Amino acid sequence: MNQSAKLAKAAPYVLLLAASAFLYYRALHFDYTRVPGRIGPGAWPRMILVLLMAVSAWQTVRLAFGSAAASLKGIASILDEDPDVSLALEAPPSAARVWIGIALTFAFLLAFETVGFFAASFVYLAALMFVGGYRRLVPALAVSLASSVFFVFIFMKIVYVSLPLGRGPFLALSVTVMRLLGIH
Amino acid sequence: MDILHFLGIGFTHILILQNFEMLIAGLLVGMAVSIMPGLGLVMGVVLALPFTYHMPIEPSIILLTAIYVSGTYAGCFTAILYRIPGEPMDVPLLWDGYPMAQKGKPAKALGWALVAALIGGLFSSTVMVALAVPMSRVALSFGPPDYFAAVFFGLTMVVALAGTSLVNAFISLFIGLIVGTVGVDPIFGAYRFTFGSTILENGVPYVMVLVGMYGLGEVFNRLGKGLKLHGQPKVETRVKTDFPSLAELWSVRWTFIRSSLLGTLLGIVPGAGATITSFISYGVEKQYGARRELLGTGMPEGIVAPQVGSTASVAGHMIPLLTLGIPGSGATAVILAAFLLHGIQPGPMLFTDPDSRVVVYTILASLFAGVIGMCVIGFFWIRVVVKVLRIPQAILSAIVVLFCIVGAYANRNSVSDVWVIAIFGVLGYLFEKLHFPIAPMVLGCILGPFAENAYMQTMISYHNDWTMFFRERLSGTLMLISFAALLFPLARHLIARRRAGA
Repeated sequence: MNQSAKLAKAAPYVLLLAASAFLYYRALHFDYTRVPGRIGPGAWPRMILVLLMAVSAWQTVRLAFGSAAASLKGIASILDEDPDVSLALEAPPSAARVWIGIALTFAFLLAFETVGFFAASFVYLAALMFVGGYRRLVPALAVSLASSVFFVFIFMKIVYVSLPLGRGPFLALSVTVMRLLGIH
Repeated sequence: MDILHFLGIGFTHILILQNFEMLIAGLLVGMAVSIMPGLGLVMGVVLALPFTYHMPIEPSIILLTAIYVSGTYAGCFTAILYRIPGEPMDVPLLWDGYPMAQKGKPAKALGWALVAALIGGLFSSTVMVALAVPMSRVALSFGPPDYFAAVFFGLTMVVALAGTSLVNAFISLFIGLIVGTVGVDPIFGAYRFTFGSTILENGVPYVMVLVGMYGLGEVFNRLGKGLKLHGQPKVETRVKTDFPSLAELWSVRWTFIRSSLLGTLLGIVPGAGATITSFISYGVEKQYGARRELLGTGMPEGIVAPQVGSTASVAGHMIPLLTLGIPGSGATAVILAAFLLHGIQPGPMLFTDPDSRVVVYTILASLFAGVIGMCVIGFFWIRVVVKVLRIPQAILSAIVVLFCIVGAYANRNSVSDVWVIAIFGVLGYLFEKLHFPIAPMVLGCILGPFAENAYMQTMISYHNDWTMFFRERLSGTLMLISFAALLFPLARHLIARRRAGA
């Protein structure tokens, strides 16, 4: 393994080290009334953060500068030892698809209250299936519609959860759907 | 006699219509989620939680425990017939269950799995009922150092039992413990890691962490792989279940005894979930079984051991939850959340209050009923349940996402909770991608506040003398076992390196 590949492998641990150092600094400055002879609210998190920094630093050094020796595994490492078995019959993963899916989810949450649950979830589900490689348009739209209606019915009519209705035209749409489902 | 009296009351409570309906619904949901690759019993329990918000306590817990119990069984069907383990715990069933099916005995293989689940489940439920009261009495005498040591033991076992890198398991645990410190500190009232956000002042609800990491995180993972199972099997629904004869059962009695004991005892240990008990039971059978050299060729012992182990672990896990209030797995953490949502704190006090005692024994009775019920459903209707395999992944994932989002929102009608699950969903995906185990993080987040509370109480009571954790008999023993469990993989690693170098 060349040096840049080693550094790439160590990168998450460097980030963890930096984040835990930052949090440690914050934990030193918690605002509270000190009681003589008593440890404060920062003692417990600082103890954990020291351990986190130590483990991250050790792993960073090991990955960036050490040999490619096998890492120390837990007692149940036997679970990893059957290369013949796949838990699902699946294709190689695509990171791009995941990040588009995550962006879609965040966009859905941003639009959730303005557009209302029904319209937002209908668009979101159809888009999510498309991103996931499901290309049959009519079934995808039908499933998105059915799922949105199903969830509105179950949660608003049976479980009594007040899902967001949206604003303006979206409010009118949500109210129409609710009326059709017999929700008052 | 008191135990039998309350257990009897518990059985009568199961017959109340809503409780019975939830039992059946839970068994069916548990079976469905454990059959589908990519779902699983923890996700099933997580997704069912929102439905319990407006239910009384008894049907809520019955629903969740029924999903948990039946989730350990139904995966055998797809593992034995199609060589598709619905969950990691079903992997050992491939080694003998699938070969037995290939030899023309699929019905017999299913029969062995059914009997194994029945005996393992009933045995561990009986042990649980017998141990619950004595354990709760012991728990009542726990001081803060003992309580800290018990939680410390649980957390170290979660790390020590990790199947992946020990370093990554430690990091996962520490992240979870830090997440558990966010919010206003209960002793000093200090704001910790809130960064001026009012949302974070009450801390990060661990149920949202669970929903995000196990639910949304898993969907993001599946999205990366494409929402389609490549080479999805043609579902064969004509296969029946053929029971082994009494003579055949007698011939594998030691396997039943070994695996039932192992499953129950390992189940009590936090972190040793159904997957680990299933693998260890198979491993012990391979090491000490009478016909160990034939294992892997379609032997009944190879089906019985992992199936008994995984089903027996469920009741084992319920013991620390009900008697100490300590959840040892993702599923029991959700059950704890359901208790807390209904204003009940699991722990030894449950067994002293007559009203709570009835609730506890109804839950215990529901485990017996759940084990028997799942076997009945497995025998008669598994062919119907297994049709869930025909549901396309795209549709299933869409439903799971909506369950996660609406479930998070429904808790407090708050969009900020939905943001929390989205963030932890991304974290769940990153954990999977970087090979960090999720269980230590989740249990760290749940048990961290318990551990900190006991730690601070000890420090205040004993003038910051940390040696108290080692000086008290019970806490000292638990601390020593914990350190030994952590040193064991290190010792094994060093020995392996030495052998490789020799």
